[in-house]
Amino acid sequence: MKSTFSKDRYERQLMLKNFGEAGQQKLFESKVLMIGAGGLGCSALAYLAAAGIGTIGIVDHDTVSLSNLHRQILYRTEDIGAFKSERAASFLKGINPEISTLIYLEKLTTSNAFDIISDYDFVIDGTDNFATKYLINDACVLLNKALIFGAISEYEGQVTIFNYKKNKQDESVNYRDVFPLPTSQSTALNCTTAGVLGVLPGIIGSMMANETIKLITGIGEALVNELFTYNALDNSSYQISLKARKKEHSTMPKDRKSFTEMDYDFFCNTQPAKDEISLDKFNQLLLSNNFEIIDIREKDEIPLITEFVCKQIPLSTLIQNESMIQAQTVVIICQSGKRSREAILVLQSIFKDSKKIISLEGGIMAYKKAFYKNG
Amino acid sequence: MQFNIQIFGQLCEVIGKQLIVENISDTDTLIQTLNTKYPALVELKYLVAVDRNLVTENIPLTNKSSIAIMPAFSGG
Repeated sequence: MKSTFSKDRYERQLMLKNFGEAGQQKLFESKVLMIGAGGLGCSALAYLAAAGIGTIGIVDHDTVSLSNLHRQILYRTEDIGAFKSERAASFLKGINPEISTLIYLEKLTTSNAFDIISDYDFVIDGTDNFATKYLINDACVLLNKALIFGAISEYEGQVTIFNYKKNKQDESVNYRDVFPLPTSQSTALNCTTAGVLGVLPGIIGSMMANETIKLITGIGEALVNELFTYNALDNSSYQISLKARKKEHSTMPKDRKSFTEMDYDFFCNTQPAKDEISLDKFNQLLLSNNFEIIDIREKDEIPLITEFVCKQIPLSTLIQNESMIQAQTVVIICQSGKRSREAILVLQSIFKDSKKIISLEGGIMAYKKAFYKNG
Repeated sequence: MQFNIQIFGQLCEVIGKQLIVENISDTDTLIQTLNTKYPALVELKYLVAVDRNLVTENIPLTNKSSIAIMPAFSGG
């Protein structure tokens, strides 16, 4: 990499009021990590490279497929099957050979996130699933890195900046302040299940690049603690001011050790749970007395549980009613087994290792189905 | 009091683009009313904004409050 930037290349940027050589120098000295080289990543990367960000890291272990090409504009048809991060880095070099690119051909995990992220000044989340979004958020909070966040859903997109203080006395907000608990990935729509108009990640990714450049150079008003939502169908936008939540019952890992131990796929319901028990084991457990069953469904939900004794504490009131839970072993029941996973996380954050908290696989629906089929 | 609630993202598939809700005095009652009327919302986590500010604890609503609810987006 050259030790300074070429003035000719950035001539139109250098002419800008409040930008100039000082702004360009800041871009040149900055290190930005793009996690996910998909729809958002491609458009953000192209503009960041062109603008002269000195060092760009790209984390992506996926390969290019034909259905990516309508929105992931760094890839060509002949790239199908090639690694996205390699092709993206090569494309960026073509745009701007004066910058450095580093590629990480691996999935971001709790084992490698700290090492990768700590080398950068700014992190951009262009990923497409909740598990990685929570993982990136938590790592950025623990490492005190600014996070430029973007996400899309069909014709709408969001941009915001997390974990950044404009002034020392300001509070920083992170993803868990906005969504303390994740929507189950199986419930949420992503580009694979719901479709996306190719230009939308282009718009949102460009906004993410713009916010990154504003943060680095200090120009304008960046979307710090402001969630901007854009609708591509009617061009409407909506901006919400964010604020931090009380930290007492946060499921956020406290330090690097608890971060490393966190199972983000479980947290976001993308993998079978470790803390679930099967119907057979549950029926065996029913023969003993050393446990408590908690139905965490809301009050009016049916079917009612009449086959065994259980306490009713809706998920929304679990924290206030923790004193109602007395046994050492607690089985959580909900309708289908999904909400129980969240209840487990909430209760584990309260009781730590002092109680064994498990959930019934498939919830009361699975139980009733088996009970009335066999009985 | 009557509130015209603005709906975003995937929540529109459950509720529609707009919803009028009556007889609510605070945001906790709003959430309970919505979750009872639309049980699918319980699984879909969403944020509530009043006057374009994120709601992080129960707050009272006035007849001038503008309310929006928005799910998390996960596409990239």
